[in-house]
Amino acid sequence: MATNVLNIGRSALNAAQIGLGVTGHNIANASTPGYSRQEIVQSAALAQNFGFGFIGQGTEVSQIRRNYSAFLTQQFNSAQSASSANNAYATQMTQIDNMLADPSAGLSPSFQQFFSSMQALSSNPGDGATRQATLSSAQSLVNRFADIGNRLEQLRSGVNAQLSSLTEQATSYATQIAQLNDSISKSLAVSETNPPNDLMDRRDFLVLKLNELVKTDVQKQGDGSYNVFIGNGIPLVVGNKANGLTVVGAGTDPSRLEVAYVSGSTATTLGENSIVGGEMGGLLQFRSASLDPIQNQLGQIATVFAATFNAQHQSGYDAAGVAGAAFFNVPSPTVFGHANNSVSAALTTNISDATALTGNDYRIAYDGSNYNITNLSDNTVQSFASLPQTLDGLTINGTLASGDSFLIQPTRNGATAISLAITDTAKIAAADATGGNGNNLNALLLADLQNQGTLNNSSVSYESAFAQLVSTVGNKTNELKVASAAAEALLMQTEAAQQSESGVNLDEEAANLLRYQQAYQAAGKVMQIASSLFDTLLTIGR
Amino acid sequence: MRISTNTIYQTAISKISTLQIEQSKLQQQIASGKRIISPSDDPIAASRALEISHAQSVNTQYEDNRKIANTHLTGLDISLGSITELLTTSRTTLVANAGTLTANQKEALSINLKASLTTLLGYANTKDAMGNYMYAGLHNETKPFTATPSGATYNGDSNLQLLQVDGQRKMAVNAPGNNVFQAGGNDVFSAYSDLAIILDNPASTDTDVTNAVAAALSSMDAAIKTVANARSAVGTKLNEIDALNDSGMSRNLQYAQALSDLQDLDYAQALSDLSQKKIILEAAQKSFVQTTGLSLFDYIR
Repeated sequence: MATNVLNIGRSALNAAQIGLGVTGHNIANASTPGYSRQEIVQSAALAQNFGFGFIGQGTEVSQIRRNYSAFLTQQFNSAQSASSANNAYATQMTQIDNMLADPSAGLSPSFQQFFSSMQALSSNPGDGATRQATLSSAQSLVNRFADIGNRLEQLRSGVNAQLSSLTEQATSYATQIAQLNDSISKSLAVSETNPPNDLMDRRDFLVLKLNELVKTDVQKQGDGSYNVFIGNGIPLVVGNKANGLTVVGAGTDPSRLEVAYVSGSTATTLGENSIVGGEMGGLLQFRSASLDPIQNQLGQIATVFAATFNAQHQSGYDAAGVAGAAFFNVPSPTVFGHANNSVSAALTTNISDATALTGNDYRIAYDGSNYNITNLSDNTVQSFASLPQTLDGLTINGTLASGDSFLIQPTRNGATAISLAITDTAKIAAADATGGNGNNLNALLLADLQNQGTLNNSSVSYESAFAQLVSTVGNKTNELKVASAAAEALLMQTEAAQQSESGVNLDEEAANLLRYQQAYQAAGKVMQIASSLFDTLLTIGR
Repeated sequence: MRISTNTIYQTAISKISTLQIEQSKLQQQIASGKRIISPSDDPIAASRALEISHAQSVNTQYEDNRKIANTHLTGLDISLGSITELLTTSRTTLVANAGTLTANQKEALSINLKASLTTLLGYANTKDAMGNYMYAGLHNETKPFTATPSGATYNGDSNLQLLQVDGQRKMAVNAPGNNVFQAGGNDVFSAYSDLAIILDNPASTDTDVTNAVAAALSSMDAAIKTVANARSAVGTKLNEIDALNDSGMSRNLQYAQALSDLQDLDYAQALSDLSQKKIILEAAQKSFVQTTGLSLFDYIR
């Protein structure tokens, strides 16, 4: 009987000791990222029937389990990927927003200064100093275009660099998840009821970190391992095998890095629609939905400005009475042939009417009978049986075999490519055909261009077009800031909900410490009494 | 509902950080005096401000052009005034010399007329402040009049130099010499030289001289009228410039006001917001320290 009491006391002591251990582990990991608080599952040991009734046999610890909710964790993951995507997009946009915010860095002051100098030229067309001032302000306008264009170009190469490091990181996470899958499934195979809690926490944390990079779907398998998918079911981790992500140059534009999926030794480019959420998703969205159109629109202003100013300048006459030459070098469209094009494939694109340019990019593909030109902003297709064709201010001509395709960016490099074509002040065509030192007739018409509709089929002036661009950037940035704040709030909420289930509360652990300490002391007392009972028996024989 | 210790810290820190961001934004606004730090703060106002500053800059350009037009026209006014004076003096001399003249009188008149012609040619070849000939049309680098035995020939053109003095107004700021001195077939230089030739010719009869003086007088009258008309046109333009200056100035004020309404910070509001933020931040910091200072571990001995 006393032995039985001693055993009961020992089982209680044991349970209390385990309880203290688990509490200590919780306290130690209170601030470990991804840690889920653990607790012991304690139950009464099977009682023994002595005929007159069941006598309890003490307690036993059947399991140490982690407080974990797959549902809350999944919500947290998806809030994390949405918030990361928004943040990445907003961070990039804010840079453009800040760049345009600087009143001395925008285009407007340079445009105003340039046209002021044209007005001054019209008041005093024969004066050398005034002509020099006109050329200088033209040069500073060109520099301003190049400056803004270069900063946008830097953002573009920044996106490339970030994508490349993010894909490396994602691959490393995928590899670690696969390794953990292996260890966890092996542990569970040994004992299904005793899960390797800390390994599982670490794996869930890696899935969360992966969601910071790109949105994933997780499927839990029968053996306890996770299969991780991105996009439309592209498997990144299957059991103990991981595939990787990398970056490759786009088929039509090698300078534009895209995310690709590596399985074995083959890399398959993933469409931008497959990579949603996370920093990668945010960056890709920024590039296609904001950076491309902004750079195109800025280039459009530069191209249309150069072309329309030249047209007026060329209808005037310079100081020597010679018909005006080009004032600016007009940027020309960029054309990229697809990597798989036939050897003889060639395409030339010229600007036939700058005022009709749209700021959109186009893809032309020949299917053997038709040349299909896709406007990439809205994916509308126009088909032509032959080349050359004129479309949106462009004349497109070339030789394509069936299956060949080209990407046309009419104004992408406009801001960086515009430059001054004349350096001699005498070449400024301020006069009309009648000539004369005081002849300002063409200068007046050149100055007039400032207030004329020139862009988008002669409906918008240069400066209004830039104001529209600023408004677009401002609106988008504002929208992203609001969306970011909302996503951040949702992230905080889901994290708090997940933490309310899994997080450690130190006061609670302090209470547990006291509880298990007292249980331990009480169990000790039980054993002490059992021992004194045994002593009583022994004294009988004396 | 449980709350984890991590959440307690995180919530407090994120709240404090949000408050600090808002405070820093306010400080930026106060330091710059601008409500809009970047276009995203108010995209519509930001692009509107660009449009207005464009209009303002164009308005300022026209103001500059008007200053230049004013200089041209004032110069022209003064010059035309001197010319009128010269012609009027010559006319008075001619009137005084109507009737039969003695040889001495003829010689004196001839000398007077030749001197006046030289002066008039000088006036007609006047340069403006920029060193350009005033009466040469658009070929203002060439001397417009060269003296000939029968008066003067015009080397300029009859084109007007226009300046954009307002959005819809191009104003001519020169007066081509052929329209001032040789208008409608009446050449004032010839009037002088023709009479002087008759006076200098000993074979001229008294009737020849009387007729020539009369012809010169009528030519002079016509020239005085032409110059007066030109001068009055210049005066009208100067008045118009004054009027345009007034409306330009009021537009400038209106633009400045609109820009200020769009961009400028309401300081009273901003400072009050700042002190409110400061109080909230202090409260958040204090309550954070107090809540996190509470721990059950403090009571375990």
